Amino acid sequence: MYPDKFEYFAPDNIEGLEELLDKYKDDSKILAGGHSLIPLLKLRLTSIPYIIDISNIKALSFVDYNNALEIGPMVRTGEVASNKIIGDKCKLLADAASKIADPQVRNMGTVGGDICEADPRNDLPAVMLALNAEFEVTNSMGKRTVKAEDFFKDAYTTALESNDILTRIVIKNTENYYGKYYKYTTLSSDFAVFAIAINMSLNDNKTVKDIGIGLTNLNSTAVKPVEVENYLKNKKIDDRVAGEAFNLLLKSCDIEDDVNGTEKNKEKILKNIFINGLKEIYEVL
Amino acid sequence: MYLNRFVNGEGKYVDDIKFDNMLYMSIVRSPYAHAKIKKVKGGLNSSELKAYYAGMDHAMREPVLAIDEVSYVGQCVAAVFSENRYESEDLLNSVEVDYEPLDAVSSIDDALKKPAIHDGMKDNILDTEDVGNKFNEKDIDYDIKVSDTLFMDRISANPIETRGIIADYKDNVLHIYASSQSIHRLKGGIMKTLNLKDDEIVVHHVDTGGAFGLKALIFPEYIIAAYASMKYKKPVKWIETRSEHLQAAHAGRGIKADITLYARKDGKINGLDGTVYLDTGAYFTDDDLVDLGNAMHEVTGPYFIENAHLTGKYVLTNKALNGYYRGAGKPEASRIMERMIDLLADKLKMDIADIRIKNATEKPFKSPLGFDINYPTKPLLEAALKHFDYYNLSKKEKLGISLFILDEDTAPGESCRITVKDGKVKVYFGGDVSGQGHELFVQEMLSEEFNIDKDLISLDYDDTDTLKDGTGTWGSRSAITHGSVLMKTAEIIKNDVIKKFGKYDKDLLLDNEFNEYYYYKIDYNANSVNFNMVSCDVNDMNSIKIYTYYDLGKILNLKNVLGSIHGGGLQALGETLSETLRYDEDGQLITNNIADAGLLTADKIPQYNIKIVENNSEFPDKAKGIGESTMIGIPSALARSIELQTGKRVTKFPIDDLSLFNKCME
Repeated sequence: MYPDKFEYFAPDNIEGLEELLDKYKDDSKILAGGHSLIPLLKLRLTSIPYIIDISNIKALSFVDYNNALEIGPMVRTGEVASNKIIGDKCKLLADAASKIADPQVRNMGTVGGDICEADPRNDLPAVMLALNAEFEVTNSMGKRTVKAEDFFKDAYTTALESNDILTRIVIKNTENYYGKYYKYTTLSSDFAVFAIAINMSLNDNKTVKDIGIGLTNLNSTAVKPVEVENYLKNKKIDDRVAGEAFNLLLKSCDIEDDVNGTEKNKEKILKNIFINGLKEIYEVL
Repeated sequence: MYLNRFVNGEGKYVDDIKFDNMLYMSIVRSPYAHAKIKKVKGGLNSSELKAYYAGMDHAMREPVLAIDEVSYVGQCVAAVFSENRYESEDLLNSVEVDYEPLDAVSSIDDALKKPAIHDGMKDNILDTEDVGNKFNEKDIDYDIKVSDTLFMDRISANPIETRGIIADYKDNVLHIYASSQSIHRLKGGIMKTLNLKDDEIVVHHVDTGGAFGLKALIFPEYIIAAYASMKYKKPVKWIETRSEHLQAAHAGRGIKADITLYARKDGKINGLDGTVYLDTGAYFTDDDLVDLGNAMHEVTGPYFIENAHLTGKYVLTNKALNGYYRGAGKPEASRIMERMIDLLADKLKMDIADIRIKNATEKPFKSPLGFDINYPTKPLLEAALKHFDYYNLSKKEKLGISLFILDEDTAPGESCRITVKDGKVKVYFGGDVSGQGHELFVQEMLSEEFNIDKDLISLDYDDTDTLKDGTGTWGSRSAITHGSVLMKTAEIIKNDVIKKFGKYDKDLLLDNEFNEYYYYKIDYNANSVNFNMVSCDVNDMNSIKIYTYYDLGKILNLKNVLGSIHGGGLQALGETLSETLRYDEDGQLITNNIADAGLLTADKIPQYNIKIVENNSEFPDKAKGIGESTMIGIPSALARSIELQTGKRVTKFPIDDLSLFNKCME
């Protein structure tokens, strides 16, 4: 790779990282697993004078469960897919992580990088929306919590300021939930043409107690179709309900003809996947 | 083993070669598909190097560096050099170019409608030619007429190793190190363009990581590097990036055909007529003639059709130039015929095998399009159908089939040198290998011929000095040409031993020194008859099953054969389902990376049921060809299997339907 010149830093603690971010602000960028940033640098689509590699910061790599699942942003995607706590507590996240790219990419790519890069084709933003995750954001002034639904603003744009660091991902909707990530690709690419993340729990009477949905690559950024979630709550899922939910879901989508196919063809496939997915998860529960 | 050095990362490709004081070259490329150049300042540009590089002196050949105008995205406008490759990339920004964008033509259909892209032409048709006998439909015996338009979109060769070169001018000789299928052809091209004498240039062959026809060509970047090395008196290296490759490397296929078949009710085809268009890209290259030539002459393939006529049109577009891609017109020709014969079968409600039997032949024949078929085609078809139990299997599975002729580019022959020294045998071919594993059959054949261990034998690389003449590796020729010249040269060495010692044994060979060169001449192209069948379930990518019934003459090395089928099968699936180069209306490339360009990876390798028959050929090693067979036979058969399930006739390649082969990850 032949990028523009840049200066490289690799601090081993968060304070050091904060200092560098305060110093270089918009001229700097955090390098996590590098699977989005390095291609952009390589193709000279972007030029960043100060690259700060955070892979030496051990405090950013952890998986814990204390009434909620807590994950550090530097946990590698492969670890997310195979970690026992995550597998037990959050099927949706483990499933989605296992469907990202290939083993080599998963060994380097990180959960935090996937979220913070906010490429509309990245998988984990939609998963975070479906899980109603909360993000602990840290900078030299202190910490704050940002909900996933307030985090993704637009393509490659999040609620993070140039000196902010994602330091913890908190997922509370774990007990009694089941979920799955329905990802549709082309034959030659591991990126989603589109994908749907669904996380669901049921009441004793078999109606939907809670449901979270996130959509990948169906709009300029990952979206949470709140109207669909609200519609499905306290309902039993059958073909009619699922079909009606899909009509509402389309309101959150902006599907266009592109290199992958026509709007019509994509909408048809999406409908099948969404309805079958809802029914599959409902039946497992 | 011998080939493990490639797997172990010990191959020595062009980019692994480094010389002192070497300059890296980066190319300023056109961002527009069509524009006037109002000003270019900086770098090495056409104000200094004004030259054209095609073999033939055609009026519409491409300049090495753009002169006053650019005609495709990625065209070379200027070159910059630095001892540091990062710096040479940085220097791209130092060249100022003012463009005035013009309307662009980005497809054959567009080109037929829009004004000429080049001054001095009345339209975008570069040339028109006719093959076969023009006939009047009133004069032929037919009950039914079927017509259709078929389109095979462009594909980039995409070898794992992209294009690359080092030019090193020293002591008044230009040394070229290149990833190539033919160093002799490369030498000729550089000599002609830069006006060099035979003793002023030596081209060295080095490890080549895939070629697929592309690396039989000469490129503007190679001429620029050669010129710069002579100018700066330093070695100059250029290694293509993947982005440059997708944008600017000569692309294959790009064929459209309007075809009509005339047939009797019993399925006998008596006439074929139509027009075949080649998307030549922005300028003429010699390979256009080969590609469209093959795509026209071979259309009727294994079937005897008494009346056949085609008009060929070379169509200019604002895209990278046309080039060879595995098959070079042969897959296109076969696909035109096989898709049309399936359509005719459907119209007549005939079985697709029955209609092929009806039109296949009991004897060798010459087609009206000028294609000599050396063998009868019906016996192989019937044997293949029987072997795979087609008539029973077709009741249960959705089968597509394809009968085809593999035209092997054996002429004009090939050269070889064998040396024996220090107990080792080394082989050099004039036709350069590009990663297909020729080493395997060389070892197998020579160990048998000389009665020695395989690991005493190696295939080495030549240069244009040590091996004065040579042809190349392409057109499914190596098994015949390289195998035969190897046997001939080995015979000469054995005779040397006998002449010297009165008898042959392996110790007499290995304890002494021998060195023989031979050029085995072949003055015609051989061919062979082959068959493919494909089944699949359109909801499951892993269900694709490829049946091959190939007549390979004598198998020289089974690993070579299986490797060619396994890899070629995957390439054929890509070409059928997803692989292409796509451009927008302004001629901008949309498929900018290999995932978007639809390349399939090894996890998509299908299931195979491989039957090889060995009807010996007339050549010294008794072999027939294989290299292009998968690309010819598989796509049309797979398309048939798919259309039987979707009910939508396939006329466009790649099929590129998002809903096929349910791609929801499990």
